Amino acid sequence: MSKGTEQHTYDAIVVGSGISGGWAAKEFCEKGLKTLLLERGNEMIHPNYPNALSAPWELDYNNELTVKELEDYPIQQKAWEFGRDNHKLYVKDTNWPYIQKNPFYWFRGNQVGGKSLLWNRNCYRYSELDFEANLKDGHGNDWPIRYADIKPWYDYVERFVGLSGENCELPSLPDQILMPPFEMNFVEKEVKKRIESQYKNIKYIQARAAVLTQAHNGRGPCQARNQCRRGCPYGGYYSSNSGAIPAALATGNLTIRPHSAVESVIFDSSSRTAKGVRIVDTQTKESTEFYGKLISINASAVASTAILLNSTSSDFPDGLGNTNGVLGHYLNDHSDSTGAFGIAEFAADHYSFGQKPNPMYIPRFRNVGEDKQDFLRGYAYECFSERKTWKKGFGQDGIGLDFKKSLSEAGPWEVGFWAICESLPNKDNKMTLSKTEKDPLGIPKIEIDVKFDENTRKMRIDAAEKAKELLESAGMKHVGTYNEDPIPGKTIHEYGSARMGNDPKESILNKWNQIHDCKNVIVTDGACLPSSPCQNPSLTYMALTARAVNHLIEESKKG
Amino acid sequence: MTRRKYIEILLQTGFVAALPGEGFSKVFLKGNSDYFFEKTQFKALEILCQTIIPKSETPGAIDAGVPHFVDMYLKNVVSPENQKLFEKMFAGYLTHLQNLKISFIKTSKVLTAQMEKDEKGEHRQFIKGLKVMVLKGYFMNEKAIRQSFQYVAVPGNYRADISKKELGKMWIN
Ligand SMILES: Cc1cc2nc3c(=O)[nH]c(=O)nc-3n(C[C@H](O)[C@H](O)[C@H](O)COP(=O)(O)OP(=O)(O)OC[C@H]3O[C@@H](n4cnc5c(N)ncnc54)[C@H](O)[C@@H]3O)c2cc1C
Ligand code: SF4
Repeated sequence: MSKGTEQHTYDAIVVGSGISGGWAAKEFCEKGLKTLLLERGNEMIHPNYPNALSAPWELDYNNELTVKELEDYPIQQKAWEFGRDNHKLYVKDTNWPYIQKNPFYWFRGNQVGGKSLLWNRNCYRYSELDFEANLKDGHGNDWPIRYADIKPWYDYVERFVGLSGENCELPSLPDQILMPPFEMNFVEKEVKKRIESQYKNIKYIQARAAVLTQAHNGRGPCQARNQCRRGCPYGGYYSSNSGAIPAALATGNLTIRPHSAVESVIFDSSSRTAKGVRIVDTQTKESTEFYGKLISINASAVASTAILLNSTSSDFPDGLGNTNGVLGHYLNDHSDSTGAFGIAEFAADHYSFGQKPNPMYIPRFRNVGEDKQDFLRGYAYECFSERKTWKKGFGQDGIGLDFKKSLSEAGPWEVGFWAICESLPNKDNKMTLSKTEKDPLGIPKIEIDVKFDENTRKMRIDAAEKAKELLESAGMKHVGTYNEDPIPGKTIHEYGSARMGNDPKESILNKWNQIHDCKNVIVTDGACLPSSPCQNPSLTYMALTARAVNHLIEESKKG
Repeated sequence: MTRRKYIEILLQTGFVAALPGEGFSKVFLKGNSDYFFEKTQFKALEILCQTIIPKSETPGAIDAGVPHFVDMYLKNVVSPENQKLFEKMFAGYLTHLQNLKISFIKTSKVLTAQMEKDEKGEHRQFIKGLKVMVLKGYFMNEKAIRQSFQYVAVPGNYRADISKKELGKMWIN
């Protein structure tokens, strides 16, 4: 081995440093493997997040971006909490353009830590019901694992991450390892009483989130300031930057290389394994190869799949492991932006100070137990309640002193239920690589062609109507529904484009997330999911990653 | 409507002479071409902003730099289509006030009453649009925020259910 090659050789390579990649790096490093973590985005070191502590008067244009600045972010600006304060944590779409065959919002982080600095931190386990769903209703391939396979890894991950929230013993939502949540506000306490006394199959619980109400592993606790979208200097919520990456660095085994866009995996035909990856340095545009015995792809579902599709060789002319043509198919997302809202007039005399980052949650109850609907699977609600101050003035009539005075008073309690709906795996939904167009790094552009189906349409209508009914039963006034035209990608839970399965003819990965035909490569982000139950998925990515990496290491020791 | 025509209306309505000296933006007076409004338009804008958020024990819109904010916001944040729309509505509103022969020099009470009325009528879209910008500008002024609310950047703890008395001013960060 030449010196240059040696310098570029590691025991393990991890591609992408977000929620799943952070875990891959931590597990490899803690097991003693010299690990290279390759990240397309910029360096970002905890706790130095830009604008994390900026005051409102320090953020120009009341935290908005100018028309000129927005030109670089035509897609990212549509993200739920995109603003001047955190826009640099999102990729510039102009730096990484893709082709939408149908509208698809692809949101991406732009730094070490990926979207773990942007997420809303909701963490729920999948249940047995979820792992059996594909087999039972025939949509998608059978999951190659069941709840018992992943349960120890959920436990393992939750112990490290630290979650707060409420358990509720439901078949559709296993209990988790939780620290006590923040106290409920008055509206939440009342709504809980009112809903749970009227509906035996519905629970209104305190959200389970990677938010620390107590100090944990040297992080936190949360300071109730509700600025999580900027990164948390207190480590009050879990991110790769505050959690997995420092743990990996502490072993002395981790090397992080930002500005490194992995273009493809290098396959060695003689050993039938991957021997490394090719990167393009995003600053110098130079191409370099890095070598490693074990490779974990964690670039997030779409980007990971693109790397595999671009890893062509005489053995795999259509992409690494893609002997069956399945790679890129079944890409999908949850749908959201359907639900209802109302006013809790009964709570006008109740106030709160500070803001807890995670509110309430109604776990899936549709098509569970006795409940049967004319659509398959189900949805969960994220449930919000807040009192606005000056922003209520946007819609309020009035000019002059009285109007001005009212702006510093609390508005009514606004209560909203926001559904997150499962969508069925569908082969017609797919991503491919353009044969003609390249991105600024010279890598083929990704083409995305995803549409929601009739099942989603029906589910969304039900989610809006049921939310209205629940809010009215809980005593809310002026209840209205909403059901926006859903755009895939918007929920940021994209999944399925390199799915796991027992049958190599219909899946890309085996039950240990290894590529069937190239077993030293694992993919453990959303790409691997055969279906995406309505729970927020990142906890499952973390658990699958820890499980897959540990198996890969064990297997490699056996030789 | 051309800009010139616009200014003519402003002159006729008396906007230009109103509120002498009160917080007129120094930066604006440099006559920088980067600004959205002409000087005279800006004066009219100042009066409208100050009418929406007058001075009380907390700063008024002019002291809080709101007209300047609105100018910069229109220039840089609002899309070219909406800029045109705003200009049209702004001019339309000034014409409307001119037709009513409201004198701005004497008192703002008349204007306040008129704007209240107009907000419910055909100039609703203009007044609502202006108000959104005025509020965004006002509530990014440190003094306005600190005096209107209990600004605590890092609460440290969440107090879930307290009375108005226990809370005092509303919390904001
Ligand atoms: C506003 C928002 C709210 C969310 N809320 C929740 C929530 O409440 N609960 C939940 O479960 N999920 C939530 N999510 C989704 C969650 O963030 C993602 O599921 C999670 O981050 C995915 O983890 P990942 O490791 O697959 O990808 P990411 O965290 O996106 O990390 C992927 C990393 O790979 C890098 N990368 C990409 N391509 C390459 C390449 N070619 N070479 C090298 N590096 C590359 C990226 O730059 C990035 O850093 C939310 C997301 C957003 C944006
Ligand atoms: S609310 Fe809590 S978790 Fe969120 S940024 Fe603030 S301290 Fe961190």
